[in-house]
Amino acid sequence: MTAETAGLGDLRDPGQGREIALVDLLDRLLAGGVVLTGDVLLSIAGVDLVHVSLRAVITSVRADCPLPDPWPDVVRGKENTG
Amino acid sequence: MSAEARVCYCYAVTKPLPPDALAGVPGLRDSTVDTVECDGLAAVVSELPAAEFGERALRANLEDLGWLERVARRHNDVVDGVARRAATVPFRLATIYRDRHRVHEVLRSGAARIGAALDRIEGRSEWGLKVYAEFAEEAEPVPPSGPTEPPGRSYLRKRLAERRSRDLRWARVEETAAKVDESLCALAVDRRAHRPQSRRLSGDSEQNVLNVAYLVDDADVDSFLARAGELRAAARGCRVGLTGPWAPYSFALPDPGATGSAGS
Repeated sequence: MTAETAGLGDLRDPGQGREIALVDLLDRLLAGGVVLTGDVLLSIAGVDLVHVSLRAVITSVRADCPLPDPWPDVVRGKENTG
Repeated sequence: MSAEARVCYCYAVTKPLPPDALAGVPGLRDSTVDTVECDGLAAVVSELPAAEFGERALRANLEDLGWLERVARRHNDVVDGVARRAATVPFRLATIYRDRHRVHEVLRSGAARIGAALDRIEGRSEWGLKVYAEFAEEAEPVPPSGPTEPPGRSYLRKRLAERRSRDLRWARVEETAAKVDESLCALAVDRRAHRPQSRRLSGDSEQNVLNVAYLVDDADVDSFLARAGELRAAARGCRVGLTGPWAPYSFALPDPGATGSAGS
């Protein structure tokens, strides 16, 4: 799977250089992935257990958390324009 | 809990692998990565010290962005390493069990759901698309005011013109983003929208207006990338960025929007 990446270098997000941007990783690792309830229960789903810094990260990547951001609606509200 | 106590960290689920298939893949804290198998599924796990990954420690560690980043990167490295060998459904970050028996149990009880997810992503990879609004250098000229116009009026006129031009540029950005999305969607088997990234987190100076993941068949990757390249070159007032290939993180769960739909 990685072999073809070499040829795609210029297509990768130029802002992030060689390393994957943390925010792209967290989009996937905190908002994606299979969710099975772990034994160690705060498993990120338990947002309440975690304090402000991480909560800020989680709310900014998870669609099920409220976010006081003025922009996303601009994009989201436009689904039915033909 | 003794200092030696261990917990079982799960990175991903795949099909059973040959012995030693993961020998060259270092886990979190350079631990050994191996599998717990059940019903034709293999959970990819590492046993880690509870002193760092147990509930109490984790609660504190997850607040440390540096720690979170190290764990997230290694988690992703392991997932990539497994995905290179076989179809892989990643787990969400920090899915941790008391021991291997519990992983076995959980695998058995979730077998149908996980097996279905594995079948769905086999032979496919995830690609991320982000569209950013590029506003800075694109201000449209403000019509000059007449020499006799009162200063207050000219100020208002200028403000109004600025606002109109901003609205216009936004409309164009939205239109471009929608076109890019639609065009790439046609070459993908599935699509998930992520929340646009906050500039505070990403450090980008431009506003992210679209943040989408596509699941693309291996056979279609070349045409998908070619199309993405064309769209990027043609985009005006926007920057189009692509990331990938990713293990199919965004497609590990059923689409929350498609309740009861027959997506296979």
